[in-house]
Amino acid sequence: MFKFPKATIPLLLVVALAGAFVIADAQSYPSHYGFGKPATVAQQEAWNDDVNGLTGAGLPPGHGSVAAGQTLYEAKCAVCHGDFGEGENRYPVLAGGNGTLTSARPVKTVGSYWPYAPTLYDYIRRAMPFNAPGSLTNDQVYAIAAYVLNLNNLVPANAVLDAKTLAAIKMPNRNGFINEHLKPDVHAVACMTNCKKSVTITSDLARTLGITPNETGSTPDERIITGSGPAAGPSAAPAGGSAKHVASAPVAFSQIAPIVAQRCAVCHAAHPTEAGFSAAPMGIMLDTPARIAALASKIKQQAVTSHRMPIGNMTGMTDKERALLGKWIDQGAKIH
Amino acid sequence: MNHDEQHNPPKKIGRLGFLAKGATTIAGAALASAVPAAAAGETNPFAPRSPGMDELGETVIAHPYGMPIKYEASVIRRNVPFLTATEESSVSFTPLQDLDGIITPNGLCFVRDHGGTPIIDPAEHRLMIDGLVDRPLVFTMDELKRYPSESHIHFTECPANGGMEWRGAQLQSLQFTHGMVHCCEWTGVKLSVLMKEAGVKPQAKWMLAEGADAAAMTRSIPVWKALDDVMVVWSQNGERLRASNGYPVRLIVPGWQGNVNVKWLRRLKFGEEPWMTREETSKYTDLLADGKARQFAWIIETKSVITSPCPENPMKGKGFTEVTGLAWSGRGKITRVDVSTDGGINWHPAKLQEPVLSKCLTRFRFPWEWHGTSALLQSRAVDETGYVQPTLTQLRAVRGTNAIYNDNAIQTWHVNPDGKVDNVQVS
Repeated sequence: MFKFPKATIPLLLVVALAGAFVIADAQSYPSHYGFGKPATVAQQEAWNDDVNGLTGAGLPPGHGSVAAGQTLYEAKCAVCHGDFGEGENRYPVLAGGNGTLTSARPVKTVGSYWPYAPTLYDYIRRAMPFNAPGSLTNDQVYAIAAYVLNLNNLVPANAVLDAKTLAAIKMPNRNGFINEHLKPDVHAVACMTNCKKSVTITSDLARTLGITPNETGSTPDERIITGSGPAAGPSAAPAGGSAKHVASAPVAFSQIAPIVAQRCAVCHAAHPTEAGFSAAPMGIMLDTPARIAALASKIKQQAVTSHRMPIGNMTGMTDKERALLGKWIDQGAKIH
Repeated sequence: MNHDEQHNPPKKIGRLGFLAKGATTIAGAALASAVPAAAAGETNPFAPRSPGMDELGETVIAHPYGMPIKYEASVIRRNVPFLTATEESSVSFTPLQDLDGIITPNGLCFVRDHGGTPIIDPAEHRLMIDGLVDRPLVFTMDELKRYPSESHIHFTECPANGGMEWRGAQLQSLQFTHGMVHCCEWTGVKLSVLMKEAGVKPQAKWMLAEGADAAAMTRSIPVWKALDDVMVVWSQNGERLRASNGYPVRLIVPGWQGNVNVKWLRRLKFGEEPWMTREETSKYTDLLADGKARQFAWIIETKSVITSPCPENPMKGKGFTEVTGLAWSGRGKITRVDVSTDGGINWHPAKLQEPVLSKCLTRFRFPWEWHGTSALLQSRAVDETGYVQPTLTQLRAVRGTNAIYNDNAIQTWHVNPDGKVDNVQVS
């Protein structure tokens, strides 16, 4: 710090000199810095992979058919879909769910919920398949998007999609969204005394439901997504091998039905009977033979290969029951 | 359990542990001779001598990057395996029940990834600004860090925090009902500075933020917010970002739901319309009872929760109990928190702990005399705009029970006469 003898220098001069010093030494922040480099056209083109769902802007050249999409979907998507959830308490099925958005069990799919078709292209290209994002060609993405839209009856089976035809699709739930919520929609008042006459506990399941993880509840083998198919394929079974292996006496559906009814369908049903479940968890229902058969591979994954279900084994599924389920599924999950 | 055992639990090394250990050293043998007089009595009038007083401790460089002591090993992030199909597109929760103050330690910040945590070499990372700009720019991390920086403390909350509770009380745990929130001091450059560098065109109304993860996370943000208080940050709580929180660079969008605070930021593109990405259409939209969905409900509304007592922190005995918790608002500062012990019939103002900052966790405290009877503990926050945290009943009346996201309802903890604390919902 400079010192100015106050006795000899007028105060105004002190201020003026100090001000000049500050400007010369510290400076102010400039209005422009210029630290980045100009992005070249080639760089911008390489990075520019976004597609605008609203307008379709950014959809690349190329095309894909529903038929090609089916082949790709079965090879690259079917192994996970159904199981790949975002964890928001619902199951992200890709098709169906129409008319369910106002129900107690909304099923939000591409067909029932997604407002814009180009978003499907953008997301598949950027993030799918889950274990190999960015691996699909533009034509493959068009084909898979076409197949998923066909599963939702939004394009015919002979459809071929490209930038123009994909952007032209009007999704059923296009007008289902209310935009931008900058003002509060709930208006409470901060009452301080005698705010209500009495209080009753309306939900106290948390203590008894038994789904809160504890320190022993989570093990690595509960991870589901592997992308590698069944853990024990046909090649794992030695020809004419051990008597313990699945290739033994057939398991009838009549043996399976009561297990699923008692251990699974108390929650996984259109109208769950288990206290606290007002709707089927993740939208998965195991309350009819057809539904059980359709979800056989999932049952195996969740309750046989892993013991992820029933959650906390709250319904007490036994190891013998799990083995029987696995056997029935390995034999083709026949219901007749 | 007698008085002494309460203060000297057997698992800790007490007087006997010291003697057994000390006897093996010369110094210990010398000290041991002085001990019997004190040890002879039933109770030791002196504080037990710590074993650390009898031998040299660890060197100052034994842990070049320090970690919590082994006795705090239970203070960790946890996940709920059944919530998600994979552990890459998933979430781990902050242990709010074990934390004091308002700052979340970096290693305990909740992690919500959509395609796993990428490990990115900062030397290879680039941030591009393009679209409706006069000068498309690409930055290395070194170039970015030359810009003037600012530090601000903000909370970040995933809008799915509490999402399991819309239909009923399900998780018996503060960590799992409220642990998708953290609060850090973030350091970086104001986005408005970079926007000026690139010369964002007047017709640009929206910005796409893109992450360099396997999900290539993308969200649209309006330019007015980008110009307001959004930051491009490289540090949290004084050190470089953790990989799981966006290393080497991420967006901080103060007060807005977590997923728009794009981690591993690689591109900001300016345009005229929102992009309507998957994460802002099929996800992170709040389905209402009438089948319509709230989209772009970015602002985290005023919320609070009592962090002790809670299911993980049961009552420690009758008498004085300091009830404490956290409050936050995406609209600004918390101005008041009230606490109820009777399920919301009567409320009492709690004391706010300084500092009280905008869009930041605020710690509150409330002195309570517990008589060993059943009680229903609640907290209710008010922010500087006058917004009052609603009850779940009030929230459900407007949003229904299918929303999943943006549950900011008042939480009720049921204190049982035995001291256990349950997660419940009340009328």
